[in-house]
Amino acid sequence: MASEKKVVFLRSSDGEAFEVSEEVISAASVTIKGMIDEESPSRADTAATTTLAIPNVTAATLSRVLHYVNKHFDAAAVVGRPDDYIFCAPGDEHPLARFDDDFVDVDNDTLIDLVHAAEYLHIKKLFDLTCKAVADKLKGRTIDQIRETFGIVNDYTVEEEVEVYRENSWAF
Amino acid sequence: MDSNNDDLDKQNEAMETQIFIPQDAQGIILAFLPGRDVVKSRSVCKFWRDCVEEPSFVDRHLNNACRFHQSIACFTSLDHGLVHMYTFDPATMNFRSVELVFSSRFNMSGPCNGLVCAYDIKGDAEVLNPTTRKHFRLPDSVLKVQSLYSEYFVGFVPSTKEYKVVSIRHHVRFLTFEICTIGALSWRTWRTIHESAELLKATKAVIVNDGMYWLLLNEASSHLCREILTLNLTDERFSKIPIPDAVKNHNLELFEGEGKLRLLSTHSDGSNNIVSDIWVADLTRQDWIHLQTIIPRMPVGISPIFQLKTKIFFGNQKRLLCVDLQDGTVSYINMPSGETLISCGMFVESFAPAVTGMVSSTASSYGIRSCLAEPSSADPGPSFRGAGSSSASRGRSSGLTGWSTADLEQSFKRTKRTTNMQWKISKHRAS
Repeated sequence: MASEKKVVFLRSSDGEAFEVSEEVISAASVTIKGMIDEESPSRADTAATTTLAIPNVTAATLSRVLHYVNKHFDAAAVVGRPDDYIFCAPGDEHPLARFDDDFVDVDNDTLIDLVHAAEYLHIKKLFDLTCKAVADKLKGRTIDQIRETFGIVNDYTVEEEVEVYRENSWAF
Repeated sequence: MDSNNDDLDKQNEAMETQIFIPQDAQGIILAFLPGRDVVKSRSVCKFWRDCVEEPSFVDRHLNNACRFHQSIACFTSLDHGLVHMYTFDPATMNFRSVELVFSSRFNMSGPCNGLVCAYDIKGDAEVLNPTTRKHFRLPDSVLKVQSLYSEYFVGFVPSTKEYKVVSIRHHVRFLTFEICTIGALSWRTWRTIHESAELLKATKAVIVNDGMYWLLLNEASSHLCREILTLNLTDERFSKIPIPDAVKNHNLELFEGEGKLRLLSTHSDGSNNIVSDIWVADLTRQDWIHLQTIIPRMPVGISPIFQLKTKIFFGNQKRLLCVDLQDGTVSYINMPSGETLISCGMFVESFAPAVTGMVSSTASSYGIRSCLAEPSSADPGPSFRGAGSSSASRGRSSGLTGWSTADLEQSFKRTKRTTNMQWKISKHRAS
């Protein structure tokens, strides 16, 4: 019976293919669901499995994304409140909170790749999770550190910068 | 070998330190930051400054803040005309921070999605946002002048994301209710209760979601209640809901808890035991659910403010008290001497309202206004007293006499370093 479960293959930008349950990935990614829906008339006859090209995501990132997706969107594996998982109060820990913490405990490049991938694949929960993780890296840094870390060019003139600093100086 | 390793390290370092965030993700990332980091981030670049001013950012940040940056907040009025905001972690109850709020008014509404309304006995009022340190002066009302005094409450309409201020104007024989949407230019008079002002058991509104609630007494001289007056902030209609029959002869108080309207009833069971019950309103069915009979004796002469999980918070001018329904522990925090508790509730950092007319709050917009008007005056006027000011910093403050914002900040920062409010246990339930 299990063999009846449809799977799709996702091919990363560097050519590696990953197998994932169609049901799970459709629930997770709006983008891929759209691709599958477009494909579906031509594959009504079945046996052939679909391979979708994901040109913007590398194999390393895609495998991480799928790891996340399988943890969070496989109905059999998800327990508790699936729709509210990253927003648990500190006191009552969701079973996946620990997984999420570990998932985003990666270096900056990997994290930003995940932000890009989540955005492109339109996986809202993952996008929120990774954006929050980036925000946590910004917390408590000085302005110069933030600019340096994120490669942001200071486009204020000296006068403007003094002015905006004066307005907000109480927060520093 | 060594030099190779060094090079490798350097490479890694370079990769670690420079990352690029997709531009459309930047606003979303910033919306996860705590309030103060958002204010600071305005200095990073123009794009970030513009990002955090967009209405969609304000909404998104409020959503995130409701989940990640809630605190229990106590607002205390200092006798020299400023307000302190003390915050506590809702999960651990630990003291978190003390912030300066620029207001010299001695009354304040409960906080609602990051805003409070500060007002004084004459009815002058501002809506303040302690997260942005901006305020909004409420428009004048004819009724304000005609009435003896006014009270103000801030509520939020989730469907339109508007904040509304409700004012109760007290006249000799009646009350009038007025509503003002923040950002609007005038008040709307909605209802006059002609019978008697005394019919409201307490004029302080209890706010739950988009509703404001008051207990109505049987008759003016009675202490028993018949029903609850409701103002729906979305459609601005008044209605009444009955109270449970079982408690009609009990002493009642309304409060908010976990997004629901709750009723605390206390009565004596005949053998000198005080019994307290909590009821929760099911507003869609206009029904009440009896939650539990509380064993620890509820404090007398101190009113319930709100409930958070298993803890009910009570307060008066000097003390915030917390009763844990689960284990019966009663703990309390005394306000620092010279400070009066004027408002308390769940506080969430917010960049709302996204309306024009918000003004930066500084000392000059309040207490030392008179000095500002006459900078050359030798008379310091009604300046702030309290902690001593340094003459050196007075010299810096552009010739102003009295206190400047910088002076206040400095004195405040001294306070801040030494502040640590600790909960004290007053009673465990005897078991």
